Amino acid sequence: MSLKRFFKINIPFFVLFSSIVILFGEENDVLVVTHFSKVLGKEKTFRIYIPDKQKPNELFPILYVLHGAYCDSSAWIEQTKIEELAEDYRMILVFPDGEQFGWYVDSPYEKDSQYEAYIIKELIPLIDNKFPTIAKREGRSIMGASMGGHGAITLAEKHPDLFCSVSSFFGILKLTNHPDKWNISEKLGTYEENRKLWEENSAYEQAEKFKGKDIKIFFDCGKDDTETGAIFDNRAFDQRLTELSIPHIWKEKEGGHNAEFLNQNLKEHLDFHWNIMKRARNNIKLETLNPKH
Amino acid sequence: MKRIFSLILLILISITIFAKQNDILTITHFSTTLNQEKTFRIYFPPDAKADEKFPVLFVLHGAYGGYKDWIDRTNVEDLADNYRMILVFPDGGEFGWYVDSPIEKDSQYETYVAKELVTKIDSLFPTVASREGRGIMGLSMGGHGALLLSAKHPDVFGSASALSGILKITEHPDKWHIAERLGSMNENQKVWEDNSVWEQAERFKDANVKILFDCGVDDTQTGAINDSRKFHERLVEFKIPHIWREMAGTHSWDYWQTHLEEHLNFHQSAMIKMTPNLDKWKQLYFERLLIFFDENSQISFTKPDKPTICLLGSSSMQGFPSDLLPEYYVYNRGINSDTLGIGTKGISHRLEESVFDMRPDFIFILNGTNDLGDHHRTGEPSIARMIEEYEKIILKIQERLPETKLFIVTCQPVRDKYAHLATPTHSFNMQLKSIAEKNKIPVIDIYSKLVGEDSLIKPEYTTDGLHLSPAAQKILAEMMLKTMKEK
Repeated sequence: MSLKRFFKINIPFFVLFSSIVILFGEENDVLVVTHFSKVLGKEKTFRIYIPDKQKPNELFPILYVLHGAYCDSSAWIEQTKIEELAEDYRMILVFPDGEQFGWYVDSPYEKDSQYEAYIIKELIPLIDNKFPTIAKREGRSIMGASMGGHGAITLAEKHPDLFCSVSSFFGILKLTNHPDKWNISEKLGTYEENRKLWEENSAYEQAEKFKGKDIKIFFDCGKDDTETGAIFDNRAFDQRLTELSIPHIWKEKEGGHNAEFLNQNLKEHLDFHWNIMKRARNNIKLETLNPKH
Repeated sequence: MKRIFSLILLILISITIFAKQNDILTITHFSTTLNQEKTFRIYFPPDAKADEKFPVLFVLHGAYGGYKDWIDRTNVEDLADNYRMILVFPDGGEFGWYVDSPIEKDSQYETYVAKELVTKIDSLFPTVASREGRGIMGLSMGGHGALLLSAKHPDVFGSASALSGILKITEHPDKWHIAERLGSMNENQKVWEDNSVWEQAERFKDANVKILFDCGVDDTQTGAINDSRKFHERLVEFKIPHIWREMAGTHSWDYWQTHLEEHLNFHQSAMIKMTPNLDKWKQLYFERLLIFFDENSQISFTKPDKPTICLLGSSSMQGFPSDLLPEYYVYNRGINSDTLGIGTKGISHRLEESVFDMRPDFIFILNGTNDLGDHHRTGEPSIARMIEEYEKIILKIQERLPETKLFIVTCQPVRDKYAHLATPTHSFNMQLKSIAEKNKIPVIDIYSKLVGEDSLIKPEYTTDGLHLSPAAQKILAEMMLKTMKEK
């Protein structure tokens, strides 16, 4: 069994392996970009996959892909086959670094942990400004796994003007179910004393924000994902959206909280976003979308 | 109070630091040419407009160095904010020499920089993507790289410049691991010549690449000064226009920092037609510099057959008709609304391209009114500060061009909507005359000739209250001619 295959199959996605060494050849089309973040006051690294242009002024829809806890911007590329699959689409993929336990929230306690602001106010403008993107809502989507699934859904709830579709793999979709887990209280304070802040940053409690917004929602989770509680969060989130009559796709599947689940379902998520965004590519005069390119 | 001030200062400094750093990305990619990961840095001008596309300047490092050098060791990112160019800092390998090695498959830095990286940058970022909007510069090994790559790929680069370049590598057969890339020189003479810009100089003939190179006179240990002098002679032989500057200094970051701005000016001017979003003033400024560079490049092999005059100043000089000085060849180095050089722009910042590159026989300086206008509007600079800057200019000219005859022209009087400048112009001229006397420089006192009893310029001598009428220009020309003959 090859090293890469070993990692794909046997390593739970939740666990950080900073020592994973991946053959360079695998990262052909991915750029590793380091920049100084004004919002966070420190250097950050993101990864970006850009398809080869078929014509000089070609612009691409863009999918932001968020990693889970214990991970960084390299996780998706190193632990899943996303880079290989990406070649079947004409989308830019951006893999931001949301810190091991950044939870994609703006922490009132840690000045350098403002990952909602970082992605929304800094990274998206930076990427639209410099890279050949379709710099409009119709050409921008977001997805993530676990903590990143929570990140994708909450950022879409709070900023429905920025994204046309959102999806989550085994997302932690109700933070308030996990008051003592995964360092969330370091970012948001204890749940008992900061109930409101927790609810403001929890996908379940913010579901109503999707109401009346034309944003496509898809989330899935494995039946065996009970230890993290993601399966219970996802079922509750489905019920909540149903109550609010918000259209969405929810799929309960076989599997657990691991990279295998991601690999099995990755194509479905990419298809989902691509089918929505390719309309932007086809329908709109590209020059008007990002005249820089 | 003091504490509040320090706090504000601290905040301002932090903001500045943050604002600077965001415009630089450090990017690692997999190079298919080199079959390995490579890292480069890229600088973007601030506040890009939605439709703005930038020319690109590739900035190459020297031997023993890497892609971080320029940003870590000079203030290039601060200076860069004065221009509208993307800067790319590639990794050329510690001793890659920007050549395609016939021996080592993973050392193909000519192809990597001139093809792979150029294509990648154009494909990813908002660039102009043509040779007219692409320049290349470098220091030492990178100076060699910049000139060699532009000689071999004139379809890719429209301008090239070198600081302290190793421009004839065949002079250095045992140095800096070149033999590891190209094989020993004895056995591989042709490969060495194919990769040495001195031997490749003829490629520049009719290639229309704008060329600048300079070197410190004390840069003898590396041999860069000898290489550069020889390269200059070689280009003269082929009648290839270029600018060559021999200046004080050694093979050091001190030298490269000092002269970096001149190279940025050169490339920004060369690419000015591809830079539509500069401030209007800067646009005019670099358009003028481009004319200076082009004129100076020609002088490298065709000297005018008349005595040469340099007119240095702002609009009064730019608008001065050369045909009033028919026995001379006139280099008009006036730039509308230019100032003496206090701050980041003005005459003292452009002496290389305005004066030193063509070593004129005579220089006339007429400047100061725009500084006086700034003073009237903002209170800055003071007249004392203006005089200080003026003296700096004349001392520098005297030091660099001791044979050249220098003249100071007083600022003309004004009237009408410029009447508020009448008194300061008078005081400025008084002080100017005293520094001229101190430094033994003849003064052409046009002020006294044109002023009326009301201390304003006589109406027939001005078109708009400030600029000289043809009658006044004629008087000035006569005074110039007379003084030159006296001298």
